[in-house]
Order: sequence, then C-alpha cells, then structure tokens
Amino acid sequence: MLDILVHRIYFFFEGGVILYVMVINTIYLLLTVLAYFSLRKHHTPFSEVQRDALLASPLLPRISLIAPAYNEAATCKESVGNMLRLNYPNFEVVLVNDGSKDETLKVMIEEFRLFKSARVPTGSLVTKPIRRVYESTDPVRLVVIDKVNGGKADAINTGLNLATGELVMVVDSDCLIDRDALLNMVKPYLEDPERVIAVGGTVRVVNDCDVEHGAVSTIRVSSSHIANFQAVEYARAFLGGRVGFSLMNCLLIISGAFGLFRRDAVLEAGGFDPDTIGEDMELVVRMHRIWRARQQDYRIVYVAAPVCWTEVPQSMKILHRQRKRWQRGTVESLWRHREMLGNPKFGLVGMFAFPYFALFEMLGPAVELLGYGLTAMGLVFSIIAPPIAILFFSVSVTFGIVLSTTAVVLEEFTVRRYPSWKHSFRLFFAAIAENFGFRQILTWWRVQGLIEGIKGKKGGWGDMERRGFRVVGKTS
Amino acid sequence: MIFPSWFPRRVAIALEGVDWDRVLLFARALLAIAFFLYPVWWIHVHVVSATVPQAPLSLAISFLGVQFAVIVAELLASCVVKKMDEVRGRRSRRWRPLIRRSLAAHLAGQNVSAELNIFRKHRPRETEICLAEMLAAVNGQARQRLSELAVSLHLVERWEKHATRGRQELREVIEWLGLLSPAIGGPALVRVLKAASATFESRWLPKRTLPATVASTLCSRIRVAGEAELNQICHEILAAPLLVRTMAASDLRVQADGSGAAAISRALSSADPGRATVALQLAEAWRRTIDAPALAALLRHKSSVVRGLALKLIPFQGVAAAFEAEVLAGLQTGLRAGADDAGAQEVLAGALSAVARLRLMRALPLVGQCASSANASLARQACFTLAALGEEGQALLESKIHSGPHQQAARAAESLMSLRAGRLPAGGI
Repeated sequence: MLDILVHRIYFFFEGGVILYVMVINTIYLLLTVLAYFSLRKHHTPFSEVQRDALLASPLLPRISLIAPAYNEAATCKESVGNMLRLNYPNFEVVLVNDGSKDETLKVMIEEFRLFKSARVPTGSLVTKPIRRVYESTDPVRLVVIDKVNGGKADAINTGLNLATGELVMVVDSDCLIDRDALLNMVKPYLEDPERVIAVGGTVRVVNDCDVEHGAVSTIRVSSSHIANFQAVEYARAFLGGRVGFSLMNCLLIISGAFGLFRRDAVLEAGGFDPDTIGEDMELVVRMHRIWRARQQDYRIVYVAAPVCWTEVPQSMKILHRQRKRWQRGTVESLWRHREMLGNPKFGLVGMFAFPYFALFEMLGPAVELLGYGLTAMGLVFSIIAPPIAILFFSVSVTFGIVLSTTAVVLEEFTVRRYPSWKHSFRLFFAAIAENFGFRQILTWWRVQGLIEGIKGKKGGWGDMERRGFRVVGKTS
Repeated sequence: MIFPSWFPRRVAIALEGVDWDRVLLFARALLAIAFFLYPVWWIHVHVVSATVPQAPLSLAISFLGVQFAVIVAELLASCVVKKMDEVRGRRSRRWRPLIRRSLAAHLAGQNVSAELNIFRKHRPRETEICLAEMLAAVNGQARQRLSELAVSLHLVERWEKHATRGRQELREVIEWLGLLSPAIGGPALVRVLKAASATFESRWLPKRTLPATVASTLCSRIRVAGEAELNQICHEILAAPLLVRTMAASDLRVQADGSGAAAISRALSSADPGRATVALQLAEAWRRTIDAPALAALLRHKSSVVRGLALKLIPFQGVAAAFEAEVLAGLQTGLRAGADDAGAQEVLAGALSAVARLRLMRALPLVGQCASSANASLARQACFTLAALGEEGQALLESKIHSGPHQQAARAAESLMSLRAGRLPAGGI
C-alpha cells in the first residue's frame, strides 16, 4: 500500500517536472522561431546611403553615453577611446567613477587630458555626493564624474542627473561598442519617438577577439570553453528570447551593459533603484508598470543590429558570483513588482512575460534540480527503468541543444560575424558540450542565487577579473 | 482592408485594428513548428511504433531522432553559408579593384566599354556595387557619365527586375536609382515604385512599407525629381515620421530655397501645430531665415511649442531687431506663468536662446530672474545666457556665486567656467 502511495507521489512530481519541461521548451521554441521570422523582416540595418544621410542630418537627437565604472583601470582607456570614436554626430560620454579603489580616475585624467569642470546636475535623482567633475577639451565631450561609492545604480543616476542628451545610453565601462551602434540603436526611436521609451541592443562576447584602435577588428571564438559556453548563452538569450518578447512589447529586461532610454522617461520613472542588484531589469519592469497603469501607449524594444562587446568571466569563481547576483536580481525585481503577476491590468506583461519570468527564469533552476533529483531517486529505488530515464534525459538535453544551435544559426544569418566555418563548428561544439556539466553547475549556482534572493541578501558592484582586451596595433 | 457589404460591421472594425504583420509572424512561426513536429509524428507512426509499442517511448525516440537531424542540418547550413561567404568575399576582393579601375578610366574619358561589358556579363553584382559606390562619390558631369554608362551596360534594366525580388532588394534599387542623374534615374524610379505599389496592392493583406524604405524612397525621389514634383515631395517629407525627416533633411535643405520653399511655407502657416513644429525644427537646424510676416504669425500661434521654436528663429532673421519686443514679451510671459506651466517654459527657453544669440542687453534683468527659476534646466540655460551677455551679465553671475543659494551659485560658476574655457554653447543651451 505504502509502496503504491510512494510510486504515485513520485510519478506526480516526475510528471509535473516533465510537463514543466515541455511547456518551457515549447515557449522557447516559439520565441526562437518567432525571432527568426521577426529578424528576417525587421533586421534591416541602415544601408551605406542611409547611414551617410543620417550622419549628415542636423535632426539626430543628442545622446549621452553613461558609463558607470568601478575599478576599471585595466580597460577604461580602451573603452572610453572606443566610445569617443563612435559614428554619431551629436553625443557625449559621461563616465561615472563610483569611488574606485584603483587608478581609474588617474588613468582617465592623464589619458584624456581632462580639466576640472563646474557642470551642475539638471536632474533631481537623489545620489551619493559628487567629489569633482572633469571634462575634456575634445569636440566630442567627455565628462568624468568622480563620486562617493554608492553602487552601479547610484552611479548611473548621477550620470543621468548631469547628462545633457534627450536620450541616454547606459553602457558598461568595460565594453566595446560597434562604430555604428548608436545609429542602429536610435532607429526605433526615430521611427516612433512618441511611444519608444527604451531600446535594448545585443551584447556579445569579446574574449580573444582582436581590438584595434578601440574597436573589435577580428572576431574570434575564444580559446576558453567557459567563454564559449557563455557566447552561446548570450546568443540564445538575446536573439532567441528578447526578439520574441520585444515583438509582443513585453520585454522585461534591457541589459544594463547596453541600453538606450529616453532621459525624461527614466527621470519620470525615478531612475535606477540603488537598492536592487538587478537594477536594469527592475527599471524596465517599473517602466512597464507605470506606463501600463497610466494606460499610456509606449514601446520597449530590442534591436539585434547594434552590438556591444563585453568581456565575460573565464574563471568559475567569478562566474559563480555573477550568476548568483543575476539570479538575486531577477528574484528581487519580480518580488518588488509581484502585483503585476497574472494581473490583466498590465496586459501581456502581467499575463505572459511576468509569469514566464517567475515560473521559468526565477523558479526554473529549482525545478530543473528537482528533476535531476527525482530521476536519480527513481533510478536508485528502481521506480523507473534506466533506459527510460536516459531517453527522457536525452530528449530534454537535445532539445536544449537544438535551441542553442538555432540561436547560433540565427546569429549567423542576421549578424553573420564569425569569419570562418571553423568558428561555427566550435560554437556548435560549445552548444552541445555546455549541456553536460556546465549547465548543471549553472543550475546549482542559480538555485543558490534564488535562495539568497529569497533571504534578501544585498550586494554592490560585482567583482570581475579583467584580463583586458587583446589589443592589436597602436591605439591613439 | 476592404470588406464586402454583407460582412458584419463590428467584426470589420475589430479586424481593422489588428496588427496583421504580427499575426502573420505568429502564423508563420506556428507553421514552422508544425513543420518541425510533423516528421516526429511520421517517424513515430511509420517507423518506431512498430518496434516500440509504448506510445510515449516511441514518440520520445522519434523526437530525439528529429532533433539530431535538425542539429546536423543547422551545422551544415551554417558551414555552407560561411563557405559561400568566404568564396564571395574572395571573389569580390579580386574583382572589385579591377572594376573600379575601369570605371575610373571611363570617367577619365578612356574607352573601356569592352572591358566593362565583360565585367557586367561575368560579374554583374560586383559591377553594379562598384558603380553605385562611385555614383555616390561624384556629382555633375561625372554623375551624368556614370548614369549613361549604367544605361549602356543595361544595369538600370537589371535593377528594375531586381527590385521585384523582395523588400531589401527594392530598397537597394531605390537608393541606387536615386544616385543616377535625374533624366535617367527619375523615370526608372517611377517605374520601380509603380511596379512595387502594384505588387503590394495585389495582396489581400495590407502591407506596410518599412519606414527606412519610405525614407530611401523620398530621398531618391527628391534627388531625381523634376521641378513639378519637388514641391509635392517636400510636402510628403514634412508630413513623414521623424526617421524619414532626419534622413531626408540634407536632401531637403538643397531644395529649401528653391522648389521646396512653398512646401515649407505651407507647413509653417499650417493650423496644425505638429506640422508647423516640424517645419520650424528644420528651419532651426538649418539656421534658415523665414518670411517676417510668417514669423510674426508663428509668434502668436496658439501652441506654446510653436511660439518657443519661432522665438529661437528670430536671431537668424535679417531684421531681428524688429522682433526684440516679442523676445522680451516671451520672457515676461514665461516668468509670470511659473515653473509648473510646461508650455510657458517652452516659450521661455526659446526666448532665452534668442537673447543669447542676439546679445539683447535690455533683457538682462529678466534673464537674471530666470536664473532663479525652479526649473533646473531653464535656470541653467539662463546662466549660460547671462554669460553670453558680456560684462554686465557676468557680473550678475558673480554676484550669484557670492550671495545666491547653493544651486544658483553652482550654475553661475558652471557658466562662467564654460565661458572662460571658450565652450559657451551658442543660444545659451
């Protein structure tokens, strides 16, 4: 009798996990296929003729690039140099040094020959005190704000207060941005300036790529498997997921490493929240909430063409911290706006995107872990036959591989950047290999992040071991 | 969409509001998923179920098999595309310099038509790309000569056919035709656009042309259009979305004093504040003079945005002094209304900009009051304006540093430092 009861309970949970896996994979598949068709139609970067016409236009809106920096002495020179050389006629770079303990400020002052400025904030966001503002004498203005440490969100808010552009682009100070990224990023805003309040772009992995004159010159697949696994993950997340969500106007996250916002909209929403770890996601969810509550027509869009290159961790220790932080950020953002969950007042955001993030992004790792545990238990207690367990595991894993390889193919057909078929082969290998060990480790770390998030653990800037860019030739 | 008379009206209204582009995308996605799942079902029924009687297991095995096939197919497709790109890249690196050299020789007056005909026959894609690149870089006689070459090489005919292949191709051809001389490009462009609209109209679902394609179309039309058409095209650009206006701004500027002037005047005199705003923004960007009576009318417009923009244009007028009273009135109105009135703040910003450019000393006391505004952006602009007003304005700023509240002192210091660093923004902004 007890035996039957145990079996029933076991199959109830196992059935639940299988159903869960089927639903999540169906959604992933739908989003990926939607992304393919959407990219085919809408992924139309400006042609040379259009690009020239735009660059000569006096009507392009002014953009302030806000780059928060904490201990970025190793990469800030290259990154800021790269930002200053972007193809856009009307922009400024605002680097916010959030009380770095290394020589970030010194490097900036010496490299860009900055002078002390008296620029005052026009925004009213409350931030930690500013120590000093510096400016360059170059035609493209560089503003460096030295402030007391207050975290990434606080640094961005300081930049927002002092920015002069009608649009602000938040970028990580360790990133390299494609030369035409600003033009491509501003496209949705130009198409619909009344409604578009935020635009997200694509973030890609720069590890082992050649950097020349502050820009990525040769794109390579990294020699590190960990970096390649992350390259596949990024492709899956950006080209697979975000395109689909953007199509339905329920994109809940715009990467803090690369996002364009209407400055007045961010100020209206109250800026980035310094009390959260996932400040990028929290702001986007909050914007959805405010605009939907007001019943105002708006769009939060993702565009695939503009690319920002970022260095991903190659050490498991740093990656562990990063993933725990990301998971905590997701938990915090969703918990803070929990009233949106399943609330028809918030349209597709409340009825689809929010439940999706809560069920699959936040709780997904816990369910996945439960699935592994149940399968192991079933095998140990001979409740399920080993061939069946292996079969269902294989189905699940290969489906994950199909989604990853499809994302890689999407990247090939849209952005088409890796120069040789050998790179494709290595990325495919990474897409397959990540399912055997790496994915399970990530799941475990995310569960740790979920627990920490539930406990309400706080955190500041994430630690990142900078290897610096692989610089080729002389940089000016 | 056009519905037959018997069609229920309510349903028709509901269908009008549907985003058909999105519905089509979803339908395609679902079809693609069905295309992926059908082989699973087929393998399950016809192959695996014969040996594996349990349906779930049989389905799982079939699913696994299809997934493996998909992974292999994707890998192969990716590698093939890469390889093809590599070959194409190598080919174009080899041929393009040769084609460019021949084109340059043709421009220099040499007879290289035989050579170019061979290139056109064997490397048509490379030839047309090189020709388009060169057309984009030249003007006048050289443009005419290259346009004639495009006709003699039958490239214009080829482009017209190429345009019917898809949206991307259509945009590319529209841009290339816009680079040709008006006599050659104009008629060809009309033919291409007529063919394209016929294609779109023949479909039963409404087809929206992408804004970037609309922008390219208008830019090309304005470059190759005859005098009679220019006014209409300028009118269309002024009524188009921001992306189109931004992209066409440079081409439109060329026409602004000629055939396009009437369209701009019509927009300026429009009762619709949106259209007047667009025309004023363009005039401001071009630093262009507009008719004094028109400007006077705009300064009395019911929309505060229009009035603010009109004030900004005063310094570019030849008779700017005639409008000084309007600038002072703008400052007074803005100050009376207070920081909460967004419309009045627009007027105030426009007036401050005019004061800074005109160095209007009579406005000094009013600008001094603006520097204490609760609106931080306006107060900052007022400080910059004071800095532009010479010694008296700077003295006022210095007094604010010594005795004003903290925020005001900071703004005053900022504007004085900008002045000393030679970075005072024009127009006080």
